[in-house]
Amino acid sequence: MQQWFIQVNDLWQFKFGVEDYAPAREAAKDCSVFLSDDEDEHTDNVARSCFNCMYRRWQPSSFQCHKRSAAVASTCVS
Amino acid sequence: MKAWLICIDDTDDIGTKGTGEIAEEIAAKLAPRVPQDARPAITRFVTRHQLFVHPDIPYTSHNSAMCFQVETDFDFAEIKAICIAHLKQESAAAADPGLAILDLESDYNIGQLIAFGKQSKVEVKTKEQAYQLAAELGVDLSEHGGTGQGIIGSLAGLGLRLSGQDGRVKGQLTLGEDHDESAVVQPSVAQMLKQTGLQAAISTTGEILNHDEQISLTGQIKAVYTQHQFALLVSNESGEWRNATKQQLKPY
Repeated sequence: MQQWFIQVNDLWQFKFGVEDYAPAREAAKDCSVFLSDDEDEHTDNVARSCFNCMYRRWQPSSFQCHKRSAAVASTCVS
Repeated sequence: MKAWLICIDDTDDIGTKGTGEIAEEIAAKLAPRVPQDARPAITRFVTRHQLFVHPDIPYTSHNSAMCFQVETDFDFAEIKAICIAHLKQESAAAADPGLAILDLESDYNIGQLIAFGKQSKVEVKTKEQAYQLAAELGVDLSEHGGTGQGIIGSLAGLGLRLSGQDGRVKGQLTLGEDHDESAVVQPSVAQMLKQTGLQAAISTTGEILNHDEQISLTGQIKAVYTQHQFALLVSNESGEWRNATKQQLKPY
């Protein structure tokens, strides 16, 4: 988890901004709770990418993962 | 029949039906397609308009508004009632839906509306500002649950659509019933336009392709609204025109 995200307050923030696709794909591949957003909201051609996940909330220069903050049973955290 | 521009915003939540789908459903209720019409009128394409991403704006995940045009015999009161009923039925419980309806034949200041849309991509707007401008321009603006914050995006979406230079078209285009998105097909621009109903093929640098040029299409085929046309976005890769990737579509 900490390879890709840093914890800011109670939320996990992606470390690599909005244009670095490789780590977003790696993180999603490792995540058991990835949930695809509407295809119209996808910004990565590779479907399984945090950039395409319903649980990401865009910020000006990155995104936050809201699934993790909800502490729902997740095997993402490693 | 009159033409109307309608925009909705902030109707969804994580795991619920998307705002774009709700917009398509409203469009279908207002102007049902006749059975022999294989494709919707291009003006009815729903366009997605990206708005400002900022910590002070309470969007769910991406802050985008969905806009569409309809030509219908319904009068204003009927249109609004249909929109509201569908929003009430389909919006997420935690959403803050907003609805904007513009009579395209009315005498409104298009410049002010476009300016509001453009400003809403780069700065935080308030509900008061949205209501004030809507009143000045004769746009019907209404909120339908929660904080009603979605009125800002719904008004902005009208302006962005009217700018003719903003938005991705919701959904994917198909090239006939047998279209396989894993295959590569190479129609001419003219053939692609005929099959999809789009108006142009436009490159990521703004070049309008000639109708006899060949394009190479694979994967999901997406359109944008740019230069006042519903267009296939293409890029030149090693001398070949290819449909845009998600990454290339992102700025639209």
